[in-house]
Amino acid sequence: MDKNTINKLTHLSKLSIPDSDIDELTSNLENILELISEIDAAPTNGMEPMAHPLDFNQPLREDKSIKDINRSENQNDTSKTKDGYYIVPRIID
Amino acid sequence: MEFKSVKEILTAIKNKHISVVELTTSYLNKIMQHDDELNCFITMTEEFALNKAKEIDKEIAKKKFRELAGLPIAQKDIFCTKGVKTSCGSKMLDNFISPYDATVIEKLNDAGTIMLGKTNMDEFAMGSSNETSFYGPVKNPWDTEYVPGGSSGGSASAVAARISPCSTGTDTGGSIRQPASLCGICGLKPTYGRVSRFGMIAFASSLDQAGLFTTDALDAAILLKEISGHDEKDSTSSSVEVPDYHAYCLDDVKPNYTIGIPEEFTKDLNEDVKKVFYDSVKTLEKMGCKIKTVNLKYTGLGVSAYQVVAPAECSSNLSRFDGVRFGHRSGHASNLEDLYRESRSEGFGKEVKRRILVGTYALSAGYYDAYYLKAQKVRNLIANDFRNAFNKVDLIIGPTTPDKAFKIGEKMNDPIAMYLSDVYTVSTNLAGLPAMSIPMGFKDNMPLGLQIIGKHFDEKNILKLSYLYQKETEWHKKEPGK
Repeated sequence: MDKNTINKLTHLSKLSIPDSDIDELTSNLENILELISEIDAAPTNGMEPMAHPLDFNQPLREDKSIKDINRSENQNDTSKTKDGYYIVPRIID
Repeated sequence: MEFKSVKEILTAIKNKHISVVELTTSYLNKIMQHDDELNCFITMTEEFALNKAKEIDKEIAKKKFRELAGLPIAQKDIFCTKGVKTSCGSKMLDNFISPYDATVIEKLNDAGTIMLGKTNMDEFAMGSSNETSFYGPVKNPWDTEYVPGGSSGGSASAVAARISPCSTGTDTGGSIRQPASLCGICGLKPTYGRVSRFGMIAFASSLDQAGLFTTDALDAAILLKEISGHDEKDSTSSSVEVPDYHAYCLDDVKPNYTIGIPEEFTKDLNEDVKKVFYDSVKTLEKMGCKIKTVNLKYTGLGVSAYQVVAPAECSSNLSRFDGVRFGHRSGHASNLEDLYRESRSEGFGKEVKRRILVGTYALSAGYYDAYYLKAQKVRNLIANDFRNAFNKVDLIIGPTTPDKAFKIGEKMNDPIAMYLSDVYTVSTNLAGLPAMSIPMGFKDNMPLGLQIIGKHFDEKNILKLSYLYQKETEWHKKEPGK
């Protein structure tokens, strides 16, 4: 875990970490990766990956439109919205 | 009037020994009196509670009784509650008023419960001590220098302190059972899919499950029925029939349970916890249970696999918090990219950022197979361990936690030590199994929990064994300061 990797991860995850916290974070992440590396030796040849704990088909609801969403209620933070749209800073300089 | 259980409260209301307004007021007063010290609540909902209490009193006057009419309850602040702040313990959602109710909240509201407030929790449910909350740590009512556990620390501490008769929680790696153990109460994590996750702010979607805190097993049985069942708003919720757990606990059939003790759950235990645990095993034997040793060979890899799967899913789930539509928005952004980065950097705390970065690493190009795919295969190995064990036994038991509660601040700078406090609980989440922690004794005057794990959708036998054990023991009746 070096500074380049940390920079790549913070870029991908849209986070910025103050320089003063980088050393502590690097050490924490190295320890966590060491803990995680214990799975390396597990005999997983032929094992299916388990993405979901239950083996059942996910039921689908009837395909009909529902109108239980109230736009003004969902956009109740007026500091971020105008005329039903979200206000964001300039996208193109 | 003092009540010992949910059942006593429901009976007193039905028999009109107390009005719902009187009862609600008495619990709100208890919270006012004790919560400055304990910090269990992020938001109090007095007005909402008293209005609902008046409504239920009116219904009762007309002889209309809902299933849980008038029962006060504390709701973990991870559940969306319409018109009420839903913070998830984070600065990111400090200003978020939910426009809708989570299904769990809707079901409990419809059943007639009275929400007292929203409880404190580790930020986005990431923590085992309730110290990562933006709203400060919760204290353990048995000794306020100690943590209550986490992430559902506020919900657990409130029930242990008897300032709420019951509460909701969520459990992704032990977040109901670990605090229940450290606070000396019952904490039930149902089977994955038993309870809808709609409106429950997602941490790791394939592991998260809503559940309950109560002081005894019968109370948990009463409440579980009300929150369980398929929800068309959550396609991972199960349509397996919901039994009457309470009636099942009380029926005359006394099963001769065969109970497994995994070697892996006892070999590294310290002597004090071991003694308390084996005393509870003796009680179970006296009750007629047959005890067998079982092996869960790969559960030792549970924490490692969990620390890949949970952060990977968290990094994906938490990408929705971008400062645009809801939640914290940075005032220092000059372009959209800045807005995302600054809002997230200001809104999330250290532990949440750490997990997002670990998850991003595990899912990034070149590492996916080595981490995420491998961890999912290990997850299957662990699930197989349980499948094999449940061919030989009805239920599996062990200590819920490796030790009693630790002191506030003790593990905050050591994430690995913190993660390992969930060593006996994470595997059941990976396998999607139901499990419950019930009080089994004390070490240095601090409570310890007995974990009972069942087969998928076999909550009824976990609850029945817990109920039968509590008929023989008094641990669940012990209260802090008494």
